Amino acid sequence: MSTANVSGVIVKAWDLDTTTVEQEFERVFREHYQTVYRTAYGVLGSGPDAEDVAQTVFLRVLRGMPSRHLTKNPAGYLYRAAVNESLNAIRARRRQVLTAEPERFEVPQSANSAAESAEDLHRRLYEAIAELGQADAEVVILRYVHNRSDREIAQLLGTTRGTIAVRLYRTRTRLRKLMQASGAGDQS
Amino acid sequence: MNRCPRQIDEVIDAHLGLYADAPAGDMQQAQERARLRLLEETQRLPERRPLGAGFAWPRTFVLASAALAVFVLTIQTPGIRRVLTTSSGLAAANSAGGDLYRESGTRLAQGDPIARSERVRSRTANAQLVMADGSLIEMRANSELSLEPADDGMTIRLGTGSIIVNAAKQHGHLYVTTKDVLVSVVGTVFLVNAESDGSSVGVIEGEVHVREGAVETSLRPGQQVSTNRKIVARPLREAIAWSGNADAIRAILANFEKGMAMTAGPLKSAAEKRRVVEPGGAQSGAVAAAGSEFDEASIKPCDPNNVPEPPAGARGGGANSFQMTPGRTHALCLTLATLIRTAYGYAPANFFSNGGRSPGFNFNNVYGLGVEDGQRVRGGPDWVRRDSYTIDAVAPDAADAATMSGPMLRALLEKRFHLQAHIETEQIPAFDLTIAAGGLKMKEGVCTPDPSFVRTAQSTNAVIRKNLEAARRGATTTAPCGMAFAVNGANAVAVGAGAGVPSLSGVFGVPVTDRTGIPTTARFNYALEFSLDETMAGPLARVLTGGIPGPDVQIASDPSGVPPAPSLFTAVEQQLGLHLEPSRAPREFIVIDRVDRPTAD
Repeated sequence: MSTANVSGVIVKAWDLDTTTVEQEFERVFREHYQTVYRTAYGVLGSGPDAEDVAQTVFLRVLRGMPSRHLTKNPAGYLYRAAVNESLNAIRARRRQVLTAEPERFEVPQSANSAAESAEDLHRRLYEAIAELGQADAEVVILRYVHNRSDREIAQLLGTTRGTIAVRLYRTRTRLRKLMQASGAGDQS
Repeated sequence: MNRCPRQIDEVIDAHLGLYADAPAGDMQQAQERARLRLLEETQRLPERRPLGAGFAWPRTFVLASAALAVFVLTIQTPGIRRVLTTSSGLAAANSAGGDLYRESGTRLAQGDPIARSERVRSRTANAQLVMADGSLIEMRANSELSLEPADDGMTIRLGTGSIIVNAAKQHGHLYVTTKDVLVSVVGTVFLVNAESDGSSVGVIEGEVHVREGAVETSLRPGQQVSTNRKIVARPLREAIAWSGNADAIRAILANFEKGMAMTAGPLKSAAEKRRVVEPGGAQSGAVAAAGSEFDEASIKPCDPNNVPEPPAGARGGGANSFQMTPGRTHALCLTLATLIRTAYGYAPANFFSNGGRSPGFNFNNVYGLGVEDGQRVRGGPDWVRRDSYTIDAVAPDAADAATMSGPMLRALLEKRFHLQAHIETEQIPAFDLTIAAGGLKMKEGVCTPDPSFVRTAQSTNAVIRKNLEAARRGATTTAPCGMAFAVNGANAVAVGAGAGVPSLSGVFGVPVTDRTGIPTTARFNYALEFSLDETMAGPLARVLTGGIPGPDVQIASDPSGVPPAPSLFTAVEQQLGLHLEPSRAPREFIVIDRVDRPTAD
């Protein structure tokens, strides 16, 4: 029952000395929380949902230390986890159609319809991205939400610039087809 | 209706980054709440080392959070109740956990009373109300409710969103109403969710009675019901994830979730209830006769966050695997759709010979059955294709593998999932494979594989990399007999060694009928290289959607440097001298007429 059991899991995954494990977690939390939150917010467009996602990601890290990749590339690992959780939230949200979104409750009826249309298009785009899959979503979100260059994306995801360029091009092509099929832009 | 690609591009550019700028204030508050939550987690885990000097949570923060907890638990709630007893309010805000607003937009301060019929809305998660009788209401973000006295108690009218009610023991009743259900309780903890499509109710502790129209259902801990099949999508322990007390609730639920206590499904109609009590269970008349059922069976849901991995270095095992030994059947984390496909005798989607019928199972082998994605099983709610279950079943020793994997499994699904389904046949797009106008280009040959070759992803990659040039010439290689696939850059590459006419059904995900007239005994050596695109199915589709092809399937050291190959259609003509002609072919589909979450073991 010693604490070494739980810490041992952490140590095994992070390859760290027990005395530094919790400091390391605190550092990871401090340095990467906002990236995780921003990622989720960029995908979900909702503060509470982004908070849920970020909390889930760090709770998983704290409880399970699920991957050795966390040690090697914590930024990349946490980013991928944030994308994964956000896509899961999108899929879940598609099942749970909320009756009223916060903006619609608070904003008077005269609120301009363009804002709603933009939200709807954003939602539809990311639903399409959720269909494309995790890897495509990772690249798209880094480009459009975090405004990263091909070189930065490649560095974070541990691949080459060429691969990123190809993936962005292909993803965009597929996204275009999906959006065309769903009638995106018809109302814009 | 259709916009040009440029307009679509503008929409994409304009909206992908719509929420690129997260509000800094909200984010910092969220970070502080997360810090608090994580701190609680470190203290909650029984085996965790106590916080020591090495732990870098701010000391002042630790003290503040501890003080807050004491305040909430021992001072704040009784204080609020005292306020309520001296005011006309039916409840009061306990805003320590989140923000509450009146309909007018005024933010509720700690202890502010809430009047009869006054609508209150939560803007953040964990907003709380304390009722005069001591009952606690926790509201999810963006939920809205009002309170009304009832003849024999109090009514919470939930307009939208989700609430968790911890009802105090009381003399009267506590009711929760949504637009389509009435929930009545006496001292319990439960979740109510109101959406546009309907409502759902889940019980964490105690018992509640849920009435929809004239139908009343009693729920026990872990059970959920909904008025609409579509909105029962998540296990209860996930549905309460937004709560500030989620871990405590999960701990309570864990006590009741042994076996399959957790069930979910639409409220039974009165007609269905009558059918249930009729002798013989007429609603599941398709259940196989005695003698073709398992003696015992356990069905348990799999945790989507802890999906079993295949054993290291081995093929088979892990999620989606199926194994039988004499008298026993073990299905590990298969979706219900996959189980249905198996029980009806169909193979995974990329298996096209014999009309897609399964070639059958042998005892002791472990079979990977993949995940049925709609290519064979249609209809039913989303969870049929999403949630996975582990089945352990015991059959009489005399039962053979075909009976256990077929009629017995089917009877089990009919009995426990109330499955009703039928077969429909459709003409679907397909291809005919013929010899191209320019003549056959594949060279006849035999396979001479390396005798030490053991097929793994890595060894297959290595052997393809080694033999690709020779295979392009149609020469004899050391590749394994048959056709082996890998990815080269953004292309798929298949090396055929002593292989028959290639069956491309698995690549397209549709039937490809060999109409070349080439004898089935003929063998060829070849290489087929084509660009991956979204028309691919099976493993190649997974390569496409699973991310940048990694070293497990990638044979190129620099994938971006490999020039693109032609499309499969062109490649087949240019490299093999074969031609793909679009056609139609019949395909049988299993259509789900009815299915429910599994009943308890």
